[in-house]
Amino acid sequence: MAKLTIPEDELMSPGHMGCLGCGATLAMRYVLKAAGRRTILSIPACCWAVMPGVWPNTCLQVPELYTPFETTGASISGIRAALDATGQNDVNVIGFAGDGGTADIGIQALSGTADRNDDVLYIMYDNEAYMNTGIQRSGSTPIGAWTTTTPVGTTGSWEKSPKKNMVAIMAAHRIPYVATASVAYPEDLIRKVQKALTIKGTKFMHIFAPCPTGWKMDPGLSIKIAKEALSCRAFNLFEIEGGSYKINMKPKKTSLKEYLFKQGRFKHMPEDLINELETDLDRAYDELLRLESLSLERAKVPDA
Amino acid sequence: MTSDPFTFLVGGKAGEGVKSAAGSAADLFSEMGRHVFQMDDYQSLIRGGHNFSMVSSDIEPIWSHHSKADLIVCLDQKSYDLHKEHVSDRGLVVLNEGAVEGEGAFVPLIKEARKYPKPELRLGLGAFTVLCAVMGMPEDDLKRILEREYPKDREVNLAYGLSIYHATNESVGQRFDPRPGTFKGSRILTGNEAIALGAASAGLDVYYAYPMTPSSSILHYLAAHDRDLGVEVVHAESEIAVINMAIGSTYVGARAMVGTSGGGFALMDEAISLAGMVESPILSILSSRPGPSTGVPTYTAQADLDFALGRGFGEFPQIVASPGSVEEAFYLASEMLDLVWRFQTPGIILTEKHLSESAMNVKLDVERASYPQPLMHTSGEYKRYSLTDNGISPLLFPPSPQMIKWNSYEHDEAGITTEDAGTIEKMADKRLAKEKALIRQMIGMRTVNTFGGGPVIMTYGSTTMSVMEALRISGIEAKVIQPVYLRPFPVWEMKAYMKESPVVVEQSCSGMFARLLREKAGITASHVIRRYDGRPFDPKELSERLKEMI
Repeated sequence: MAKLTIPEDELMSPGHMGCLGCGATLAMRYVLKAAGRRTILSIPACCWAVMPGVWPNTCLQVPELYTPFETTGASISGIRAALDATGQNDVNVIGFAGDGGTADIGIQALSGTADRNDDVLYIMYDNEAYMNTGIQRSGSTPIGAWTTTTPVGTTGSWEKSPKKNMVAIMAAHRIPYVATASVAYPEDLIRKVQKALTIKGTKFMHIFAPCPTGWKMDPGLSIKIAKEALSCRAFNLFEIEGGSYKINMKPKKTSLKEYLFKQGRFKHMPEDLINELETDLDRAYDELLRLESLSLERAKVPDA
Repeated sequence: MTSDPFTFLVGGKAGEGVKSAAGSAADLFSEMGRHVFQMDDYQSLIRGGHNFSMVSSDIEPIWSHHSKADLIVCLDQKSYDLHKEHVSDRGLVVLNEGAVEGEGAFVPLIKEARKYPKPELRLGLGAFTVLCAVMGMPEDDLKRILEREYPKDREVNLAYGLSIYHATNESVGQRFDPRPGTFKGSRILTGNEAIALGAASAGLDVYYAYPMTPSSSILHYLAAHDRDLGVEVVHAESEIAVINMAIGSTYVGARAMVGTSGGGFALMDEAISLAGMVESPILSILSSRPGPSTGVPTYTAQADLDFALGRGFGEFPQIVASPGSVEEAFYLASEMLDLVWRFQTPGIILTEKHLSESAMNVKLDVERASYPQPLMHTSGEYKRYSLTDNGISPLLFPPSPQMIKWNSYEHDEAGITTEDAGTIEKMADKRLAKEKALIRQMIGMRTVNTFGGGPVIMTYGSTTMSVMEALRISGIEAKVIQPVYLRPFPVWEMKAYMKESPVVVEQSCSGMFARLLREKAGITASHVIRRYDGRPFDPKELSERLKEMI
């Protein structure tokens, strides 16, 4: 019999209030499976502030502190400091925030946490816009996307700036562990959370979490689209441990255009913009390959 | 068969087209020349929430929705369970056959929809068609209206709509006959849209915001119409960025506005104080929901009155006003933009979810909107904070051959930092002088609305609409006093009512507005009618409470 690689314990019970095909609910479920019961969560305004449920529904079986939008980093730092002060060192402290709450309004507090290297895990689940408040663009919205604040219309006012690279920003803080993960690859995601929780200091994970509602796509496609995001290089799976890069999956390249056109939010994108984006994503992937080989070379050189 | 007002309620799950059905109903009544009020009630949930919308209409001006509906269309069981008691005496409940159990007329809304792709998405259209049928609309009119209201996927929608039309005619037939009115040529706007249009009419150049319910629809509306209105729209990364970007824009002469709710406005506080010091004309929209903190994001409250009146640290003039209707929201936005530019100081339009997101049909006169005419520097050496009798220093914007400094540190007339005792005092006096000039200006303006005559009722903001409708339908004779401006408080008008013991109506549990009346104008309420469960007052219930008191 095959070995069960995903922990059996369910800390997210049925009855969440997310949409059909929600990637963020899977992200939470896997993170909690990996982290276990001795976990405290801090959650700012985001879909996950709503999805645990309104009475009589409540689906998270771990303690949660709901915190203002811009404060997740500060909030988990405070929780850790108090646990340290009271000698409780067997508790995982996890911040679980969306991309807007991380890349936009929460980046200052997160930077402070990372700068102090506080012993916490910060997770950004990335659905590439403010989905809970009505699909407004965030710093993590990719070029070309429709949102209610980049409404396309007749004026072509789709998202104009590239997706903010949160992983690079966090890696630049020289924290011990930074990783990406995707809800399409639960074993990889769970392994990374478990590894992160064994490392002391600030850990950051960027989890790709499709949102059928905001991406205007068939809810049945969530996992498929997350897989395609990886193969078309819109999202890459890698980890940076102690400054060393390792790419976890290198699938055969597939068409970016096909990935985009499965989602209503990209339907209007002109050919030249798609080509431009493809060049940009390919270049980013090449850079990642180079960083990985550089890391391997460095590992071969014995310390002087 | 006829009696006004007529109320249509449609309820269902999020994503079933409840709001669009109500929007179509509002269009229909408006096209008939009737006055319309639409209120959407939805939960801050992504899925599984119960949404309902109500459209009340009348041939006379109507100020509020009514909780008792004449036609209730229940798309899901929860709608029936929640609203079965809300049917009026002559009312009709229509149930989605096969999906809802209960007493009423069954119409095969989902059964017919299942013949087509994405059946749930068509239910709103079905509910709207039920309304058309029970109003006795001829088939040709229905076709025309469905094509206009649901232009996407036209063939299927028409076929589905007609099947519901015939089914409704069979099971219910014509039940209502709302009369056509004379209010033609109006347009339906929410309070937020009216604020956006009012500011745009007053020459708004840039709108900055970060999403926060119930203010977000200003951002959506302006983002969707940015080119038509000539307004640059920026969705920034936080409220701190939002307001400081806006101050930056005013420094170079652009008319800027920001919008948020309580939590976001709290983040803007430091910058409000900065605007007071550098004398930046910033207009903020604060749309309230029940707090504290996250509170109940998609519901209504008037519990941010004290917060709105006490922004920023330090002493500087501020203007706070609150509109009492969609129409007033339009003119007030333009007037406030004008005022903040005339007096170069921050201003707040305080409103609530109930006005922000409710819709009325209105006729607006864009020419009546004020256009900011700030005092500009004309000749000679420029000093940003030159001392004048009324405290208002002429403006000049960089880039310029002159030196223009806006300084958050206390400064002299040129804007150079100072710690000199005499200058500190002079500058504080200058800001105080602006406040006095502002009051002189306001004395010549309409700062308080009064309606009717008789025993006095005092209210403000969106609750004004509930009070007006309660009086209208009950025939209670009373004088409604609604201060539009709340800071500076128009004591020059309100002191006339010092001897009155009014009934105060507001949506705050501690009675913030009653306290303001007492503190500012020495007016002591005989009764304070409060509602603080997140829901707006129902006019019928309110009229019954008013009857007991006056």
